[in-house]
Amino acid sequence: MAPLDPTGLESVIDDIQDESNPQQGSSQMSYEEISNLTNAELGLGEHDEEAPGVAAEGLPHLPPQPLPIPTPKPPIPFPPIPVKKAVSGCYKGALGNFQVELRVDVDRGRTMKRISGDFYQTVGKTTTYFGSFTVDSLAITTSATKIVARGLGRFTFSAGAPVVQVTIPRVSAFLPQAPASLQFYTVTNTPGANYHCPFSTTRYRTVRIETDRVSDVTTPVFSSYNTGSLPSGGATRSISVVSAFGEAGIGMSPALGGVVNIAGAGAGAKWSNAELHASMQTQFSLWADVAQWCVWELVAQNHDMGSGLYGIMFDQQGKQRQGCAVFHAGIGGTSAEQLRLQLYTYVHELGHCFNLMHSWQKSYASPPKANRPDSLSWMNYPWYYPSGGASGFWNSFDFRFDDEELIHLRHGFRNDVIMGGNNFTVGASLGKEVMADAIEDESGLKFEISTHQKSFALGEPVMLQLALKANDMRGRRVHSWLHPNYGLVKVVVQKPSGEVKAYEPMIDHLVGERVAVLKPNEDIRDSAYIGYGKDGFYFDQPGQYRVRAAYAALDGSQVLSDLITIRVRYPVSAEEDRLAELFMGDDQGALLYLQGSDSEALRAGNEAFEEVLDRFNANPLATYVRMIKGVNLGRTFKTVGAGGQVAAAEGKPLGVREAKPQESIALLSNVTASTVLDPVTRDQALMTLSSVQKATGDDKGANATLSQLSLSLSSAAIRKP
Amino acid sequence: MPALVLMLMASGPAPASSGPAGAVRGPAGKSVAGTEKARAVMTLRVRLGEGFQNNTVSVRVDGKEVFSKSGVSTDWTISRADSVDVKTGAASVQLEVAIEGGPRVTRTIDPEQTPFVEVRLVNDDLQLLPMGEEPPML
Repeated sequence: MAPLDPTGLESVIDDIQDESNPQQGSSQMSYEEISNLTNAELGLGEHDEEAPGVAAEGLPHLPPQPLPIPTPKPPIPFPPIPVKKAVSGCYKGALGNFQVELRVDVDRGRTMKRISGDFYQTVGKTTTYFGSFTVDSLAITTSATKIVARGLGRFTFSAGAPVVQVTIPRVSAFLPQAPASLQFYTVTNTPGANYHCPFSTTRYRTVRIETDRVSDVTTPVFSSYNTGSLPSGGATRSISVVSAFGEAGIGMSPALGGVVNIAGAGAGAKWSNAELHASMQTQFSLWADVAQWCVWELVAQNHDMGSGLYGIMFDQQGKQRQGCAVFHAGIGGTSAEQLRLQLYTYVHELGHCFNLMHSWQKSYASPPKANRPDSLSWMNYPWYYPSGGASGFWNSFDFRFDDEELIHLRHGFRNDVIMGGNNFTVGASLGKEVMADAIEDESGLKFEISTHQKSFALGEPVMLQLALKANDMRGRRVHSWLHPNYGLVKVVVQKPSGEVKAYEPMIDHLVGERVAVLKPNEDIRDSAYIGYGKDGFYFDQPGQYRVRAAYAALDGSQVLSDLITIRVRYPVSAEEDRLAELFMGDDQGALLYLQGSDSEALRAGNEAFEEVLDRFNANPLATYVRMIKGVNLGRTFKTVGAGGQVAAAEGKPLGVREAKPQESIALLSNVTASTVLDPVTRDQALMTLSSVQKATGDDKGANATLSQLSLSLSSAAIRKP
Repeated sequence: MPALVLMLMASGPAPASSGPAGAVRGPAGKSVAGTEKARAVMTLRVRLGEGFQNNTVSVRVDGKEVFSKSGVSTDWTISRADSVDVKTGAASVQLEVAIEGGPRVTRTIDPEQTPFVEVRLVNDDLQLLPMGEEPPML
């Protein structure tokens, strides 16, 4: 094999100049082109049978001779066919709603002999990440015309056809790369889905990188290092951060960087991790609170921990691993040793952003891997190298990642690698995400959720406010069934333990059409009690919860809300403790969900709430009890008698509790006068109060109540109990 | 219990302080000039490195507690959990590091020769690694 092409091409292009055939020249021709040439064009000196009598070019004219008896011509010795192009790289295909990004790693330099892929799913106008697969053990068959690679895949989802086969035609070096055929099979060899995947790039993954410099950095930002400057392992070459990852098969695409001006901080300013993270959010032009193939590297002067800290991947909160920093107080300068250290540090920190751990600490990953303390890798510490320490390391280091790290970079499951994906050290997609961010959202809609307070007492009903808006200037046709009861909005809750649960309402409601055109200056709102449902209480312990919701649009798009955080406080007094107990029984949860009930089956819950009103009437939580009692008393309540029969007496069925409007009005008036409820729930309570007042003939009171509404809610959006 | 936090020094051994002979005074306040050299005050840095996961850790030097903190966890990006600097003029000290409810290790340290000690918790085993200088972190 010829040395790697410095322009980045890794195909071997043999020089097939045939010095004995000067007419052929130095350009390469395809088999087809060559076979169409005449002998004269090939300079072989024979008569051209298609033009008898015509002298071959360059040869003396011979007198006419009888035509000889035709004999088979010897095969034309055409020049060696150029070596075929390597097939490894990234291919992209689609089938139905799914798109696949396929990575084939079978024949390019330093191949890991693997195949992997990431699936995305498009529903309506939204595209979300679906899952990944990788094939660790491949059977590769190479012929003159194609490469076939086949093996059993590992998937982040349950795959029905887990056997993966990729077939790629081999083409000559100057032809465009042929598309790959990605065929899945069941374990009994029944064909599954087949994707036609045109070639995309020789890079297995591509990341945008922005490098910013802090204004007080006194030494030049690293550019490149010639590995021949000092003793090292491997080939001499000039390496930059971009080319270091390029050698690993990862394309780093530089975005325009800038200067972070900290002149106002004074001389000798040092960075804390909190400051680094805050700066990333404001300075990193590509930053977003989503998983994306974008990374920030800050070149700074010094960290709080002093010049002994050369660099740090500081982003370990929220969507982690999106940024890192290097500190020139410890590594800056222009000597060969300093440039080598800069290259090493810059790449090492970025390696952490890709979720690579130190070589001798791989066992601390989740799931754990074997430690490799003697690895000659960017991710080792030279001074910890067991064979000779730093000098032993540098003398043997070829400025590369080791094989296991290459496999992770190229073929790791997407969320284990992508910036903002799984947390640092979490390498496997073992847990469920709180609804993955959409890759693409062209729905024209924005879905927002919020709570009216940042924290809730333990047991306090968690009310979620939901709002749908259009960000398409032309408006959007939408349905207005925002409450999760109707099945068109899904709410997912991640508990403090990390467990993720989908909120399931106690009762599913099948609803008909309720469509409106939502204009850009309008919104549809609703509120939902999500504290209790089919799985019991969802906020049943103190701690931090994360909540997200998805609205199913009319075109099938899944419009995701932002992720919000809800904190549930520990009870700090005997009263809070008792109130938590009084609110957190199953009966009470059901009563809150149903907004009150006369059911004997929920007697214990009603008694608990009576105790709340008796003993803790002034506590804000009592407002919720007054609300559900007020709503319930404002309506009649039918209780079916024994045997399921409702016996009629004097024209009225047994077990009917008539509405008690005056009690209802008193309770709801108290509720709507308080400041405990969120605005949407308060407006709903006002609507209910107004209805009860109107039913008693108090139109004036009903109108006065309606005048207190705080939001312009469409009547279609108000969920009446 | 809050940690006894001292200012972190720059990496590397602190230079031995030099003072005029006789600068040290005895307990009685009498000068001991002419009989002893001034003992250099060294800074011994004890760095809690890899393996800590929400542990309660205490550090004692010559029996005196210099560090005690709960919730000690390693930042895997730099293999460091926490550190404490101890000033001492002794030729050798007894360094003890203990995990509450877990292992304990004691070692004699020469602060002048090895002013830096890395502490690692590996497979429930505490390791003390004295070094001539503090290795960088990244």
